[in-house]
Amino acid sequence: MCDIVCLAMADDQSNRGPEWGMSTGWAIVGTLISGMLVWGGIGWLIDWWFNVSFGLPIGLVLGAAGAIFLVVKRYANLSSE
Amino acid sequence: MEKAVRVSLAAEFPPGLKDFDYAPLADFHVFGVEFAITKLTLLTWIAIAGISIFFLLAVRKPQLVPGRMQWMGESAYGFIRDGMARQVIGEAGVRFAPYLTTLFLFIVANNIYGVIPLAQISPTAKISLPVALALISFVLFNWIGIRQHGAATYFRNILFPPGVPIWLYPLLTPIEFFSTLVVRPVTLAVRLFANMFAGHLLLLVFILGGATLLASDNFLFKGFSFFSFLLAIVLSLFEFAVQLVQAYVFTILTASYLQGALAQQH
Amino acid sequence: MTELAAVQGSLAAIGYGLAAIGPGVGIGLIFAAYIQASARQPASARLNLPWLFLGFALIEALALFGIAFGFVWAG
Repeated sequence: MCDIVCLAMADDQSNRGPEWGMSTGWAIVGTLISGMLVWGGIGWLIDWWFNVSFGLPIGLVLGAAGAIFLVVKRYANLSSE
Repeated sequence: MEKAVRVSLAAEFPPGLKDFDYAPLADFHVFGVEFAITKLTLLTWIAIAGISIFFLLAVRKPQLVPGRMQWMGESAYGFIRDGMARQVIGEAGVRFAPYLTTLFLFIVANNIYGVIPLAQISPTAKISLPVALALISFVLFNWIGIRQHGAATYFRNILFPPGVPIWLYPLLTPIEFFSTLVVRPVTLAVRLFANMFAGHLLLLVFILGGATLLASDNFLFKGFSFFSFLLAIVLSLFEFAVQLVQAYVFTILTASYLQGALAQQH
Repeated sequence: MTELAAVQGSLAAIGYGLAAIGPGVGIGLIFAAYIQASARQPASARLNLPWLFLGFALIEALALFGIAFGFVWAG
């Protein structure tokens, strides 16, 4: 039982100032928006260049997937160090 | 039937983008670039003068047991230095405390003009001022990161997050680039601008709407103007809180980006 | 054939409004679960944090899809 409690008690919040939650939230939203903007933009350029219609939606979904991967990589392993 | 109340409107209802255009009091050209001095410029100048005079008075004849002016100056500076610079950045953050204090107080002073009578417009409600402030913060945190780690290491840490398989880098690097170097300054500016813009529009709707209702002939409309003005008062208080919070959020995010640039641990 | 009823204006606006319901409820559920779990067992707050961020990111992606496809299908 000590492993859970001790992990919480020996909680080093050394790199978490005040409002770290808000900064993290905005970082996640920013990453998601950037992913969709960048790859949606590339998809839109593909649409415009080759006159197809599926580039933009595929780009958006791809960008969102990449952004979620980045968010998971950076934030979903924080406490299991 | 004669109107019992004579109401003159400062602007027409409904309010819109035109309410954010102010007539220039003076305009001139410098090297082909047009400049105009408007009411917003004057308000910003008064804010700068006010903050400067406040701190100059606070440090005049400093004593070990502070007098009232010195205590207020020290409290304002200490709030940012202890609560933001030290907490978020660490000990190395104390050298950014002057910039963060200036930024915070400047944004507060400009924001609260939105609820002060006779002014009633925040200079930050036009996009140019938040963009300028966000640009300064952006250049600062990148400059500090480059100076601390060297340009190659700094950009490599931003653009290539560790722990990612190599074949995913072409997908993720544009996202990381955009998210750190584009979205951060843009959201800093737009968050502040949108809050001040929307707040000003809200107040305009309820105050001008109340005055328009009061000036109508229908007595039911006149009665409803009471609620409109009541909501205007409530929203002014809410708007005051939003103005303080937005200044705090801008500064604490700047401090957080500085900490990220200095630490560079992903 | 005469039209008996029609919706005019921007269907994309109605579509976005409907699309915003789901993520709104989802984000509320995620954070409510996190708050409840932290209240029942405070030691678990630290351990649940990664799942909070993961759930938030996944649901927020759907909300952003709503905004983006609102523009894609409005034109």
